[in-house]
Amino acid sequence: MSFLTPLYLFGIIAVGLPILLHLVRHQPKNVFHFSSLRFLEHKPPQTNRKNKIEHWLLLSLRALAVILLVAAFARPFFKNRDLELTTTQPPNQTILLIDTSASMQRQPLWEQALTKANEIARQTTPEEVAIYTFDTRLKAIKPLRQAKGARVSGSLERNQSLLADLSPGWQATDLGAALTELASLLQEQAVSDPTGSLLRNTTIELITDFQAGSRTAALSQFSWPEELRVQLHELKSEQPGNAGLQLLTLDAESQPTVRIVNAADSEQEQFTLAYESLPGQTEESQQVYVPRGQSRVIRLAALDQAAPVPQIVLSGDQQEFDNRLFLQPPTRASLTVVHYGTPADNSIESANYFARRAFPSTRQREIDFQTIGPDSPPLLLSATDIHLMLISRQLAPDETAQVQRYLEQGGVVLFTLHDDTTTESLNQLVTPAENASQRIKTGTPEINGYALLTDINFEHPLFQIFQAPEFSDFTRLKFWNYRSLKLPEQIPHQVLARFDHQSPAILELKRETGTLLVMTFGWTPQESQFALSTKFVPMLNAILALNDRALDAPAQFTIGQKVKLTAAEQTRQIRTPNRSVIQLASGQQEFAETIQPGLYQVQSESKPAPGRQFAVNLDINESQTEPLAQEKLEALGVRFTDASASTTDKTSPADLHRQAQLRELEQKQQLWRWLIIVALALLGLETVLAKWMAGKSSATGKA
Amino acid sequence: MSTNASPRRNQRLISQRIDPACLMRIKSLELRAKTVVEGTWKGLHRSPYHGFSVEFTEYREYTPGDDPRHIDWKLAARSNEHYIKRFEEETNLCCHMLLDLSSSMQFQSLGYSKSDYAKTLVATFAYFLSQQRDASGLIIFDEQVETVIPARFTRGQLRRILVELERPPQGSHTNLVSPLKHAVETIKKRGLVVLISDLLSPIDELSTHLGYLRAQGHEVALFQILDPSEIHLNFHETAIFEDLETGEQIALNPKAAQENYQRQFNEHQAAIESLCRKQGVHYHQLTTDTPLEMGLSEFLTDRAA
Repeated sequence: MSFLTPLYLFGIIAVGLPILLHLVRHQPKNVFHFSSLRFLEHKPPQTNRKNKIEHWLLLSLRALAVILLVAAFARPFFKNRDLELTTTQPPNQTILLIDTSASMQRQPLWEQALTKANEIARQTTPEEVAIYTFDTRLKAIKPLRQAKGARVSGSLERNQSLLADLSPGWQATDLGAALTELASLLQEQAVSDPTGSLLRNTTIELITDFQAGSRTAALSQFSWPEELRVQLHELKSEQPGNAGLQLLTLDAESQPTVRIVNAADSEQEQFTLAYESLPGQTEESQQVYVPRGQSRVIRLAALDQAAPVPQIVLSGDQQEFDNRLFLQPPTRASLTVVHYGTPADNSIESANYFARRAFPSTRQREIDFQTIGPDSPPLLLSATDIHLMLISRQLAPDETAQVQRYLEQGGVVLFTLHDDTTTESLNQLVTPAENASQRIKTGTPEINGYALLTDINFEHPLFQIFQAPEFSDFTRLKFWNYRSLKLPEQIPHQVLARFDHQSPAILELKRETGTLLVMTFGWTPQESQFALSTKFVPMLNAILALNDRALDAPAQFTIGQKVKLTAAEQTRQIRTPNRSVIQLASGQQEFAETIQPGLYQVQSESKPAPGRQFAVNLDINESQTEPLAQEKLEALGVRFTDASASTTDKTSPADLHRQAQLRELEQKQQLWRWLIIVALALLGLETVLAKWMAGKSSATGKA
Repeated sequence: MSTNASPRRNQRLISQRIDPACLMRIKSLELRAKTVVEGTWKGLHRSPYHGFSVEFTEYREYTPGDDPRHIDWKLAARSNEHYIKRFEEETNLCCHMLLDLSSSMQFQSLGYSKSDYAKTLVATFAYFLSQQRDASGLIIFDEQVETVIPARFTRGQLRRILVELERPPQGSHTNLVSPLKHAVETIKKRGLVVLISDLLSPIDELSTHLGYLRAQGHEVALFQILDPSEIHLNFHETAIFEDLETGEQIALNPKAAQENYQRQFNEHQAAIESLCRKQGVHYHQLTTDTPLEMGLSEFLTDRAA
């Protein structure tokens, strides 16, 4: 039998206690309070020390119970064949975690980082080195060993060449995410190792400028492994301090608002802000005073819209990497609305009169409203990018085909029913001509005075803007006239609103990728109050917004941000700031390769004309280059190695491993539980025996 | 002295006495005193309501400067002459009681402590004296003088004394010198000084101060209150004995220590008795199982003698 904690066996001395108690008894216990001890001579009473043991059985029971308790504390276990103690040393690992964020572009941080990394690589066995870099994401350059046996072939030269290939990027620093991800990887790797020695023998060599702008939030959600240690190699720039630029807004007047952030350890406080159209040629320069550790917001002069868009440059700051802002003014969207209606100018009896005024051109958009009357020349659908079609009259057959084609391309069409002729057009649009049973039927319902809207689906994008209680009142909107509509069941549709007679008022029919909205009423004052109500313009514009091609595309991004691409149907390519071209897949909705600051241009293969442009700038957090306090990470649970502790910690990993195995074996057997149970049973027996003996002796005493 | 009272007389008294244990069960001190004075003791002695203090002596013609309160107005009405009615002094006795309430008085073996007994004794005296229109005063002491009620024969005096007696005991060492010194310095009018204590503290300086009191013309009586266990040390068990006053502890087998104790105790008692004899002090030893009226009657008998 062996013991896990044999030092507890010294407790066996406690066996003497019951023997001593057994022998020494009858010390006076009672205390008498007496008025005065003046007349009493101090005569110590005779203590009844017994020199012989009366109750051998009781004594041995007590002693045995003590022995068993002591043995239980010493955690005994039997060594058996299961235990194969490995004497081989568990493998060591060194992980080089190198910061490649934008702030590492400062001189001479990157040289320092490479020197330090090479130095560590030289001191360590090449097989034991893993190399990772991080900015916003963790990137494996030379990954960890995945399995115990598998060894990644490696040599010092290879490691050094891998390190030499690295260079700092433009991304922000997410130190917390990198550390947690790496720690999770190591924990996964150490899952099969119960001793935890693998984690203990792993050191993360963190090489970073440790700047205050690093994100550490991920660590607060993560429980850092107790055994895992991080060795911090903090790099220091020769010139401390830095100022950075952040674009807050670039409004419709093309007037940028900029925030200047000055790091707390800066020496400079006076800066100059200017536009730069051509390299070295600055305009509109402006002096800005920013105290160290603070920030200022400056509104610059409006850009000249005719001239090429300049960059904003900050001068007076020694660290160049974040002193430039790229601008892309928001483009004025050009939208086309086509109305198949009756062109009757200035007549408030015509639907066109109100529809034209519902889509005014603004600074953000330019609306081209085209009214196609029955006698108008046919529309060239292919040449025009139409964003919304309105139909308020009977369509000619070729027009029906056009609308159908437009719907197939993903367009949005609003159809208003006025009379039986428009019903016929709707039938042609929606139902196949040959099947008479599936035809749409309309009629003129009897209306007592007026009809109102009910059952409005406020969840639909059409009504979402009216969701708030102050806008959701539709009871003032009266309809004098509408068409009762009955759609065949085969046609899938959704009723967005009904009249109070339960007849559908607004329906949505999905046609492949397109949307067909049907209103069973007209909006002219003869038919309803709709065109004159406050709901009319917002609702028609909401219908225009259903077409995602009509939405504004943002033009300013930060590094690493995903850019949502609008029309996904055509193959495009993106020209990056360094003039290389990235080809996008046909179905790709997002562009995530925003890895360097500058202007990106989306080019369509079908359209050679200059496409959409967007600007990408640095994350402002990268400009906060003052050093981060190590205690901040320690408070989040990260354990750093002390120079003194590291040597003692690694002295006997084999012993630790062996001890862990012994502990595991002992936990399997759990003999201590049995020992405690037996000890308790013995004590119970002793109590019963002692009581019985006491009763017996008192009985004899009385007798 | 009084311990040597005639056995027959004691016999008679004992038969009609109240058991002190029963008496101590009465919560109110006043009621206890009343029980002792007016209960069994009544009839065995002259009625206390016919004291000496109301004896008429003479009439004297009023002279300016006399207190007009003392003019006999009835006589003035009849004879149109002003006479002053003179009595003998209203109080013929001024009694000061010095009560020891030190920690050693807290000792008890009968269910009530020596201090309880002593308090009842004081209350009894005070009640008796108030019945007789005599002035009574009280000095309570332990290590120092704690409470002083100057001797008066006013109506509230008994109440004041009883209130002081019913205060919870503070308790510390006994120091007999300071109350006696206080009595010597403050009691100007000749009268009776009664010292009630267990006298278990050193008595070295007691003689001097009792001598001073006697020299001032006071009549001094000393009541030693003892618990029966203190006289005989009748404990049977080996135990740790703790001194109530000093907190000192000794482990003791009482049987072994009894002989020595008895000898030393008797020596101490003898020393007290001889001291009292020498100074002309009435000495009474009362154990707490002795009926209280006995103490009172012995005292009165002794005084009358």
